[in-house]
Amino acid sequence: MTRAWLLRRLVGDGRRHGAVWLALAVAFAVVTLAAAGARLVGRAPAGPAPAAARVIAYLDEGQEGAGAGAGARAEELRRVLERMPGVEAVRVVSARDGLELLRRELGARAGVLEGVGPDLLSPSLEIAARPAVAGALAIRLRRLAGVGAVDLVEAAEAPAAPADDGRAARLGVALAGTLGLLALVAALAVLRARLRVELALWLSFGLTRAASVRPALWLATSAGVVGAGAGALGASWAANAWLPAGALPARELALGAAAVVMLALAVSRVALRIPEAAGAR
Amino acid sequence: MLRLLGVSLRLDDRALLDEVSLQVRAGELVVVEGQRASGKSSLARVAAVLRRPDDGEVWIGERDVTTLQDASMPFVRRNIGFFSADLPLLPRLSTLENVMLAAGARGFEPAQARELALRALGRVGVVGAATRLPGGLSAAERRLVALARAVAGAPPLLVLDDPSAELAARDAGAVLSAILGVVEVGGAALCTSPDGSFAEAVVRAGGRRVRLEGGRVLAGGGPIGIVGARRPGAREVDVRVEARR
Repeated sequence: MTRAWLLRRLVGDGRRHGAVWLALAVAFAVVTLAAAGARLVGRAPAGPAPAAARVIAYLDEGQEGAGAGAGARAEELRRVLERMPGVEAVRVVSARDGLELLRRELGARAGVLEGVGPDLLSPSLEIAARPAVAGALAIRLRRLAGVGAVDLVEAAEAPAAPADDGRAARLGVALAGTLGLLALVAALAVLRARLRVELALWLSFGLTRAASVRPALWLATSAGVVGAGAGALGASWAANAWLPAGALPARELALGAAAVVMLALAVSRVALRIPEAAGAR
Repeated sequence: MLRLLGVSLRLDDRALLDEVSLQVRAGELVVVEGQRASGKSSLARVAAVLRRPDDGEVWIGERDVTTLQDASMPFVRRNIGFFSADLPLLPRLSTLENVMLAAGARGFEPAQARELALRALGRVGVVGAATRLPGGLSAAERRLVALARAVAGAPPLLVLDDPSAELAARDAGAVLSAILGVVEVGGAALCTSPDGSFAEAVVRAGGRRVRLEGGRVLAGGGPIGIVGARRPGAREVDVRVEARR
């Protein structure tokens, strides 16, 4: 059959086996998601996650006093810092607010601040950052023009997560993976059963066994490509949305999706290999 | 065109075909008549190269196809139009597309296959159902479409297993007319039928009747191994077996 015919057969097979194609694509997507989930669970640290470290950058004396220009400078710094990797939140604290905070922290001993002016403290930037980057961030801030002093407040450990959190995640991933694989096997089995019925027809037309199943093989592979792609995108989105530690690296995600596509090709080839006994002998 | 020489086929200990010898020349129509379980369908499958016999030779054109490798068989089958009630129409494809596929497998381009498919559907009287899906056809219409699929493109050899079953007399007449259309352009046609009246109609149309019983040809097998006189106007069709690349 010519290429035009193969294309027509592919379209025809798509129409006849559309539901199976969809089921295959969903199954491949679930397998990809489960694989990505397994990778994320595997990467997660065993202990409780540390809370964000706090870096306080005191701006040079006079920044606040310089009026609107100093405020603009603080805002500009805040915007720059917010874009830096590992920085979770940045807050501009004015001299007045800083004094108020100090009063609150001192509590009963706040009397020592009686009579001091509102410019006792310099205006500051309070930065919440991942502990891994907080030290480097503090060093960079100290070198920055307009920053007088920098304090690094080490992160305290976050409250311990319930002991079975990791186990539940692993169980969920394993369950999703198993269900995906079962759906994959079931969809391929349906496609294979349908092909066996059609095979006698294709063979009677004079098509070779390979040519008879080729469009179905392409369909299964395309379902694998679409499903794996959707699964990879879904995994990336879910990791970005739900995991503060960040997404899976794009390269790793692409490699994973490619592995699932290869798996799609291999599994389809094996599943759609119709034995010699079927159809004509 | 088709010669079966001493063909035997067994299923377990039972002989489905017992040293059957039969010849169908180019431009000839032969009907194999026999009761149920007389071996007609097995004979049709062997003749259509869909089944290898246990013994004997199956000559198509100038080649004994029993000596070919399995991989070469599809290239022979492409020259054979085969009909059997077992072969389904593909669902969700229109009647026309179903018939076109067979013509496509015989090497016709889509546009040409479409024309041939419409002509074949017209010959068996179901051209009006061309755009309908098989699910919307009656049982008789589905059989007629499957027959159109077999005759589309006038294959050099036509093998039809009980083509008149479940058909009204008028439809059976249309089927015979379609078969004769292939025979007139030099094709060889072998039909099986348990229906005496269909066999009679074939004989009246110039065909030859062969009686099969218990897997053995009782009468009418034809001059085996002898090149007989061809029908006037018949042309010898060369069935080529392409080597697999």
